[in-house]
Amino acid sequence: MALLDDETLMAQVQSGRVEMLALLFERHHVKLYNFFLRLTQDRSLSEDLVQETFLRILKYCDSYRREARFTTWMYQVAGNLHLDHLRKRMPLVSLEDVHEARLAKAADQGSDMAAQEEQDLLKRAMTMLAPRHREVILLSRFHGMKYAHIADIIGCSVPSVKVMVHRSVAELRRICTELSGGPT
Amino acid sequence: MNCGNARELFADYLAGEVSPEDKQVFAAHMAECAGCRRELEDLNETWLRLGVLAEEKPGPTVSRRFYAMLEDETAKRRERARSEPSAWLQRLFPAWGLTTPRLRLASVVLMAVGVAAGYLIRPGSGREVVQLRHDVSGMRELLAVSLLDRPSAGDRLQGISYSMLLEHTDPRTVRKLLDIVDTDPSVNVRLAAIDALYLFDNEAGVSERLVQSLRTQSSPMVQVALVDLLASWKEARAARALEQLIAEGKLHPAAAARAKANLGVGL
Repeated sequence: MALLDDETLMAQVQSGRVEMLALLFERHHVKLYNFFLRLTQDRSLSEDLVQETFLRILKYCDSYRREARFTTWMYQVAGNLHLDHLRKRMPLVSLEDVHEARLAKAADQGSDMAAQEEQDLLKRAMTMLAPRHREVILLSRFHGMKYAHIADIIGCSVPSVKVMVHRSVAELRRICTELSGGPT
Repeated sequence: MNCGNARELFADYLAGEVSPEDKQVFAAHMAECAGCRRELEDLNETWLRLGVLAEEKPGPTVSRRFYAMLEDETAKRRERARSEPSAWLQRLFPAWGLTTPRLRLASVVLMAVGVAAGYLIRPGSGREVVQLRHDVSGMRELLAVSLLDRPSAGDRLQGISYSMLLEHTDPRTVRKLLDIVDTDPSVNVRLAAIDALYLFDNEAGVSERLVQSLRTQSSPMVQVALVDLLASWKEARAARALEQLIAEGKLHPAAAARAKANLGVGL
């Protein structure tokens, strides 16, 4: 039996079959969790935001238009939630916390230390990018989305997305170099 | 291609989206411009480095909280639907809003029988009343069973409402409701069928079928509803079956917790 696509499932949720949201949850919650995790570096907060995203999807399901891709709408909801969170200033994990966590992990992991340090450095650098730039990198690099899809999600033109990707990768490189004690 | 044009394609290069028609001129520019080449290599290196960030799996609380939220929302919606005026109208006249002409016709016939009954019910006409009541009941059974087989979930829900109005237990309807609990693709329809089965506790084999069904249900909401139904019948056999399912780990954590709570109060 062919799998129902996301848009058909969402249309069924809109028509009152709210249980179909469970299939959408099963398909997307891990990706969504990682999206939030890389934005916030906070597992517990990311779990809260996943929950809140699906709650909003259910609450505002009438505002979904079938001609739009479900994932476009879902990441719009998720992106707005993240921005709301930043406005409310539930504090993001501090750089000190990241540093401490890195030290703690490094102490535990002997041979994996270099790989762990590399991961921590990148995670830390990611938290220092502007939120929109972080989102654009995540959607493109980790979710494999085309720039046109990302443009729909964040509500701007495709050339703007490309400029953002170029700038944010260059900025990420500069931050990584600084954090690892390289030339400024 | 100048440096400005080339830099506009850097993001496309990172995502592997440089178009075939741009590919050659882009490569030619990179071969001759050391500045652009260095910048692209730096960007690409950072882009590739990001690959070390592995995907993580969220903890089990994410799923647990989601399903609890979904269950809560479903319950709220059912409650809202029950209290809406149109729902009352549908309960009084369950055939209201049927989508199939054949079924609408059947409901009209049913109504006509009712009207005829009104005319015929006079003092001393007891036999006709009994006969008419029997006819109406038969029509209801027919309508309920035919609705329970419909492909539309809305029609099946309608059929379940009808089955709850039957004056005596119709084995075909009970069998159909049990089949629905086992196999219906819609969780809402399965939940409604479980609600309807509250009326059929004295039927032979019903609780055994439900225990069997509990083993195969994947939806935590349906598992919880089945546990509540079995617990409400206060049968020793059902209690033993629930204990066994808990021990085998066959129940969703939410359903197992509900079953334990029910067993605790002496199922």
